[in-house]
Amino acid sequence: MKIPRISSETLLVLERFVERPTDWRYGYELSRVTGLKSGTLYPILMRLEKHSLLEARWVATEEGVPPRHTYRLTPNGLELARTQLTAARQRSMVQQPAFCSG
Amino acid sequence: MRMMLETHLRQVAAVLLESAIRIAPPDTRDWGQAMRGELIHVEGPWAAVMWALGGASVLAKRALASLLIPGRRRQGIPSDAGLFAKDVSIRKAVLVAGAGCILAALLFFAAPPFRQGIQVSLAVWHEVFRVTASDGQPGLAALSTQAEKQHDPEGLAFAAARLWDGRQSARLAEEAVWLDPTLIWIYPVVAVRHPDLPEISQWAPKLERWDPQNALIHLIKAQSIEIDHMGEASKLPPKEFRKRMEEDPAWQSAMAAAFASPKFDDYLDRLKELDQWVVSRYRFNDPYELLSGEEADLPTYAFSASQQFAESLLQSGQNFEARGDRKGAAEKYWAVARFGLVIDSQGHTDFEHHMGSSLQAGAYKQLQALSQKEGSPDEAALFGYLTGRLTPAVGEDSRLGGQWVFGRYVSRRNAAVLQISGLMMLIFSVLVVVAGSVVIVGSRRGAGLAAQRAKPVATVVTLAGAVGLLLSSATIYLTYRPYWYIFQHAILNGDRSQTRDFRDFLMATHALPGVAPHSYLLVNFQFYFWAGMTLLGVVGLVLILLRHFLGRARALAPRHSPRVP
Repeated sequence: MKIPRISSETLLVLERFVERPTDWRYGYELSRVTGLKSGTLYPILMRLEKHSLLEARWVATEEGVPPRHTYRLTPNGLELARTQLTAARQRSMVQQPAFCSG
Repeated sequence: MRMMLETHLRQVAAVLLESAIRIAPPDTRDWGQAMRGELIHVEGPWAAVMWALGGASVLAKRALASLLIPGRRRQGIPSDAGLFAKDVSIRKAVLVAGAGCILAALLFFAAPPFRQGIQVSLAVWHEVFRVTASDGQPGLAALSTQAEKQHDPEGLAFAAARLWDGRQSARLAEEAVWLDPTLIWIYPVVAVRHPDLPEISQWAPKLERWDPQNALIHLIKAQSIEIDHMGEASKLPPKEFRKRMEEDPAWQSAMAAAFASPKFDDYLDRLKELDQWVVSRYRFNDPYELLSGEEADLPTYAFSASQQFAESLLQSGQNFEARGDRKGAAEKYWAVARFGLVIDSQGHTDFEHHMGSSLQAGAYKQLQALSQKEGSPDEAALFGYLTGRLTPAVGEDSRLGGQWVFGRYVSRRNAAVLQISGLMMLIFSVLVVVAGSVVIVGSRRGAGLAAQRAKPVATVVTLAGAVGLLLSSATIYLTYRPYWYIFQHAILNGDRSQTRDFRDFLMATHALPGVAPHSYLLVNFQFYFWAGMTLLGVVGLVLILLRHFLGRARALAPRHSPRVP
């Protein structure tokens, strides 16, 4: 199968989702753990959601505070994410010189 | 105080994001609300502002894309290969907009005013970087070579009238007259521009035979005699030298012939006709060569020689008066007035009119006094009126001077705008080429990681460069267009009424903006201060961007071997 080219930022987001696949994650939380700024993170989330790889829902919090958007990967998204992360790891190992591996 | 600042910053962040949500396309507003919902949880007021800025930029980009690609929302899911690519449609829209700007900028090249405007805008850099020598005339030299090969007398005469090298100019003039004897009028034109040529003494008799009634020929002859005495001028005080010249019978004879001449022709009409012919034949459109040296066409030496001879005539008239010979005195005064009238009425340039008026005013003043002595109040009143009319009022000079200074200021400002626009156009062109190359390299299959990372920035830089290219091109066109029309009217229709403004403008384009012409003296400190500040700002911005992207590249480097659960 031909492996599509994925930006490193997208890989990073997928990696965080794959760590706890069943958990719903907040945007700000993802931003903190990935180190990505809102201007980079949200376009990635939007694309994933557009292609049904990510599901989103609104969560009401306390009174007077705006509801929050939360996200987690769909089964399709999880499968694709795992494939992509494995492929990325293999690519990385090929590129890494042997004496630097340890 | 700190709490207040924090509250205000958070309010600013909220307002920013809410404003962006308002302009966002409907399908992305939810995402805007999502970012807005997170804002309250962002730790630190400055971090909240940065969060809002990032979110607002995403929404603004989406709004721009929806404007540029109206059907964007209806597009289907892209192929697998494009699934995780950055927002391809936005990048495509940006590149299409950039290409449109570049195309529009290139279309300006179809307009002749723009092409000439670029040539003029870059003239100063040719001199600064020594592309052409400051005393070189490459265009005119090429034209004269071509004219010599083709044995074209008009082309040779055209070059002879404009070359700065006197010997070369004289040689071409003689060749032109040899090929076409009717072009003999080019001799006085060349003689006026290069009064120290030894050939003038050979030309003078021919010219006297050809156009004996023209005062200019006799003035050239007088000038030639004066130049022969220049060796003495350095040894004698100016008054003594002047006296020596007045005593020279040859000079006296030449000046007397000039004052007795019924006509004055500087041959500028013939030169204009020649210009039209040569410009259309050789497609020679260099405004510097065609117009900037026009003021030098004036026989400037004629003014001092004429003044000197007129003063001697007026003095002679006063001597006649003292002896009681009023008729003899009136004849002397009238000789000066008549010569002034000939120059004033038949001359073409401001300088010639000024010279004629000045001579007339001096003569009428003497005639006024003479009429009063003769008891003719009506005649005295008439001469008084003429003297007043021909002498500029005290305020008039300063008013005209003020207008001229303002006109020159406008010309200099326009020249600076043109020069800066030309330079900016070059810079933006380089930017577009470099950034465009990065985009192309980054888009190729198998492109390196660095090229892929640089692609988004390069795309934005390409668009910015293209917009800058378009704006600078439009500025060049709009700034130079009026001057191009002045140039066309002057060359094709012979209308030189506005060429002084154009000459001022061309002169100003020979100096760097804010620098005094022909010197390194900085006269516009403010301009260079702000230009320097702007440049520092741009450099700072570039460094920040570089740091941001290089830093991000380093931060992302270990993530190529993610852990798979």
